[in-house]
Amino acid sequence: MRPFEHVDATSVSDAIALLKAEPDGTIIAGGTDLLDLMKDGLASPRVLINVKTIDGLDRIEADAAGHLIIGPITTLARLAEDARVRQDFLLLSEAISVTASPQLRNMATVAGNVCQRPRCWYYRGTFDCFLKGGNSCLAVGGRSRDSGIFGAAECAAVNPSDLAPALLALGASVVIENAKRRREVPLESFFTAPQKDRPGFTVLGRDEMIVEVKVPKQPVGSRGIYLKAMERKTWSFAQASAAIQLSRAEARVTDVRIILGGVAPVPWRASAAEDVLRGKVPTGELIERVAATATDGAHPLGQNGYKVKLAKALVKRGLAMLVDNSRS
Amino acid sequence: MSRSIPSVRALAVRKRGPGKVTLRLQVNGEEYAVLAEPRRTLLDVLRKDLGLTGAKKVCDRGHCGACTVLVDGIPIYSCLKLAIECEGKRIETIEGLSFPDGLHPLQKAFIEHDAFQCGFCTPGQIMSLKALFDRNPHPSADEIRSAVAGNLCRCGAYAKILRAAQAVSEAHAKG
Repeated sequence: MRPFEHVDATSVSDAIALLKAEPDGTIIAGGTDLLDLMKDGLASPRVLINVKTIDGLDRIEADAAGHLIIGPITTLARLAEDARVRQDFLLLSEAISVTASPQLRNMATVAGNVCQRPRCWYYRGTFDCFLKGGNSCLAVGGRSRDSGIFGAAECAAVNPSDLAPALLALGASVVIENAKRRREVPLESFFTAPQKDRPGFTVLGRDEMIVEVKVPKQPVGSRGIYLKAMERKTWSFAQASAAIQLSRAEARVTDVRIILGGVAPVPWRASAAEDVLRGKVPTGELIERVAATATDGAHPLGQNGYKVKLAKALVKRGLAMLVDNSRS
Repeated sequence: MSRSIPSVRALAVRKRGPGKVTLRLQVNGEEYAVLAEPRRTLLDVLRKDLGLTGAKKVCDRGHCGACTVLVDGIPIYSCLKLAIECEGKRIETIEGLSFPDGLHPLQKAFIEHDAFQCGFCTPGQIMSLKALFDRNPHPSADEIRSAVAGNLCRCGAYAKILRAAQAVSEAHAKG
C-alpha cells in the first residue's frame, strides 16, 4: 500500500472540496473494498478522505412521504437490522443477510457497497486486462465461469453487489453532490458498463459524493424476495441472484421488478420478463414463461452457461414463493 | 484549479501523514500511544507495534477472519481497518479476555470441547462469539453459526466450535 495522507472530513462540503482539490484523493468509508484494492495496487490514492467523521451520514429515516432515506455510510449490518427496513423493505434485509460475512457487514457501507469494483479474477490478479489498460477482456476465451452473460461491452466482469439489485427492485435512487449542485439519479441509470472512452462502473464523477440513498415507499401489500446462488452456503459472491419486488391487487400483478445480480456489468433488469407478468394472474404456467423470458438476450461465454439456468431457476422460485400465500 | 475552491489548509479538517503520526488507541482497557503511518492497519499495529499477536495475519484481505477483533463491541476484520480510524474507540482482542483473572468461559469451553486443531483461527472465532454472547447470553445454534460465519477454520473444527459455544449458551440458560 502506497503511503497517503489521511483527512477527517467534518462536513459533506469539506469532503467534496477536498475531492476537488486533491486529484489523487478518494473517500474512505467502510474501506473493505478500498483497502483491498490499495493492497493490490489497483488504487493508489495520495489522500484518503474519511467521511465517518461527518455527523448524520449514517442516518436511517423516513421522509414525510414515507420514503426511506439511508445515509451513505450506514453499515450493511445496521440497515439490515433497522425495524422500519424489516417492516417495509424486507428485501433489503434479505439481500444483506446473504452478503459477505458478519464482520464485513459490520464494516461495509451502503454507498461503498453500491460503488464496489468487480471481483473478476483477471482484474484483481496480476493480469493486463481491459480494465487495467489492456487491449481486451481476458475472460472472453479464458476463465469465464464468474463472468457475465449479459450486457458486456468491452469487459465481461459482473457487478458483485447483492444490495444493488435489491435497491433497484425497490426503485431506489442515489442523491449525488458535487461543489456546484445536488442531483438525484435513479439507480437504474447509475451503473455503467466499462467502455474504452468511459472506463468507470458508475456515473459518479471523481469529485462527487453520494450523500443519500432514497427508497420509495412501496404499495400496500407489495412484497419482495432476494435469492442468491453461491458456491458455498455463506460468505461468497453471487454466481447469480434475483431480487424481485411484486405488487398485486386482487389476484393480478399490478407491478413487478425483477433484477438479476452477478450476471452483467450492471444489476440487470429483466424487463421483458416483467412485461410478461404485469397485469396478469401469476399462475404456475405463467411463472414458467416469465422465468424463461428472464434470460432473453443472454450471451454466455465458454464456462458460464450454467448462469443462464441458475438465473431462470431463481426467478421461477422467487416468484413462486412470492405468490404462495403462506409467505404473507 | 478554480479559485472558488477553498485550499485544503483553509478547511477545518485534520490532515495527517503520510509519515508517522502519533495514534492514541485504547486496547483491552489500556491507553497506548503508537507512532505509525496512516496506512498502518489496526492488525499491524496490534501485532507489530503493541506485541499483541493473538489476532492472526493470514489472508490480510478480509477473506479468512483470523484477525477478528472487537471495535466498540462489534466484530470486524482488523486487516481491513486503518488504525488511525480507531482512535477514541474501544478495541478488544483475545488478550483482553484472559488477563488478569483466568480464562473466559468461551476459552474454557473451547478447551473442554477440543474446539480446535491447529488453533490459528481460534482467537478470531472466540472474538466473534464473545460479541454474540455479550449481546445475547443464550444464543441458539443458528445464531451461533451465523456469528462465526465470517471465520474460516481450515482444520474443520466447526462442529466442535458449535458444541463449545452451545455449552456456554446452555450454562447461561441454567443460570
